[in-house]
Amino acid sequence: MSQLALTEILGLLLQDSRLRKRLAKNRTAVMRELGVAQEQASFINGLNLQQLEAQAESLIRKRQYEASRVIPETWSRLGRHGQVHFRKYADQAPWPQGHRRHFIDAAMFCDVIKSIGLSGYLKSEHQRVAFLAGHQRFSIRIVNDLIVNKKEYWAIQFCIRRKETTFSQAYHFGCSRKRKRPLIAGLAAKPETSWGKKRKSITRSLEETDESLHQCRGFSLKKKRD
Amino acid sequence: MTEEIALESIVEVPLVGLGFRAPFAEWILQKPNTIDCIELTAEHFFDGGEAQLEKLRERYPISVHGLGLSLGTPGKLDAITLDNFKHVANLANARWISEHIAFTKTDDVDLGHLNPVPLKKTSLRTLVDHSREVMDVCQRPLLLENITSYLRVPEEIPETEFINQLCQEAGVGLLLDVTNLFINGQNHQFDPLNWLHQIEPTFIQQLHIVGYSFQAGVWHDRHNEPIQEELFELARKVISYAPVESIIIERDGAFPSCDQIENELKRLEEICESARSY
Repeated sequence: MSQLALTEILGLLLQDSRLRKRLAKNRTAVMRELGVAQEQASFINGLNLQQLEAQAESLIRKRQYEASRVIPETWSRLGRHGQVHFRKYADQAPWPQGHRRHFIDAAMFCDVIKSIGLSGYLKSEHQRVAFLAGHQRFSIRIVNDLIVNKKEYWAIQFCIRRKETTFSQAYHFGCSRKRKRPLIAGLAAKPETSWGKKRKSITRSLEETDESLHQCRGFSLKKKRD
Repeated sequence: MTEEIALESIVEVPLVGLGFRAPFAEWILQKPNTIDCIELTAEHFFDGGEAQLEKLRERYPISVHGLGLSLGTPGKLDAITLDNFKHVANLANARWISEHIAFTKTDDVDLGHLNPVPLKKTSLRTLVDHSREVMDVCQRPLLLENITSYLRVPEEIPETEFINQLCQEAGVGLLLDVTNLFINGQNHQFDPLNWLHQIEPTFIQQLHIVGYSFQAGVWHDRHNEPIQEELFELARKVISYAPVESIIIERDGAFPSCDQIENELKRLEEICESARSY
């Protein structure tokens, strides 16, 4: 067995809760199992297991947080079951790789809650996040559970990946499921914040000095204030 | 009057800016006076956004911040991620690029987020080599950021000395996350100012700041709170101590109104001025 680097050992410990439990019970056995070299032993012996557990817990919380952010309505409907089911899911499924990992993760989690028939599942959000996880430039689908202002709607869902902006958008056209009210909404395009008020202008001059590669002192970009 | 007085009143202060996020995008593109510079997250532009980048580039000095290069992982850097990173840095004409003193994955596992590297010579060598490679590929200066961690790894080399050596040997600067420093200080019971004064000041080029969260006796780095007074004060002390070039508010959740962010930017501006008016 080739020797693992300390980062690899730390990575395994952070990922695998069963390995951490075994480490807590018998450090020597786990170190032998992982092939920890003599010069690495003091590092492993010096690990604070409570802190290691806290770090591992923070990773799963961050993963859960990122997934919940991209399926907010589903997460809200799942309530306290969301966390329980996400942890079961995450225990079986390693974190997807690449820069779309949060979308892929959320889409896979939606697959799971759909397959077990949880009542919080929303087809509209599942399809949107599956679109974000994929490579299509646009998609059109009919959804029957679009949530707007806590009401469910039938809608035609257009998802568009716009070239000019980094933020994908979903538009929905449809009508209320219960009251047949017309709905036209560009949900993702709706700004979440208000615009800033007008401010008085401040005189500034930007002055760029030498920038030399590999020399951080060359970053100078300072403003001078009179 | 007063040529002398006028000259004395000139102070150089860091640029104050904001991390580019979707809820602030339209406002940022209006080029409000309170925003001097912008930091982009490279991964947000791996799937496009060229037109938006061009508009930003016309309006602001830009730095490009990476999350997924995992510089602390031994072995080769991920070529596709590095290539994408370089592409975004070029499109943004980044003044500098930045990453973390951390690892997010190994050959066997992908942990998805930042973890502390063992503070040993082998990790230092890995970080130095990878930093040089990133600068060689991207042809831009690189800053490395201190992370927050619940795990305090055993130190063969003290953390501050590790950072000083890393900056010296790799020729990189330090992106000092004020909030991370404060949180680590609280969670691991050390004095952030003492830590700061062990860092060579000329290495500190940029700052990150955002409010901390506090829950069940533990401080957290969730990027979703307004900046607290202790953090403004710590930022002021860092700016007094080091030739910081820019300071970025790094808000990622519970997005406030642009007015609220603007107030934080103004407050930082005042802090920069008071810190440099000596």
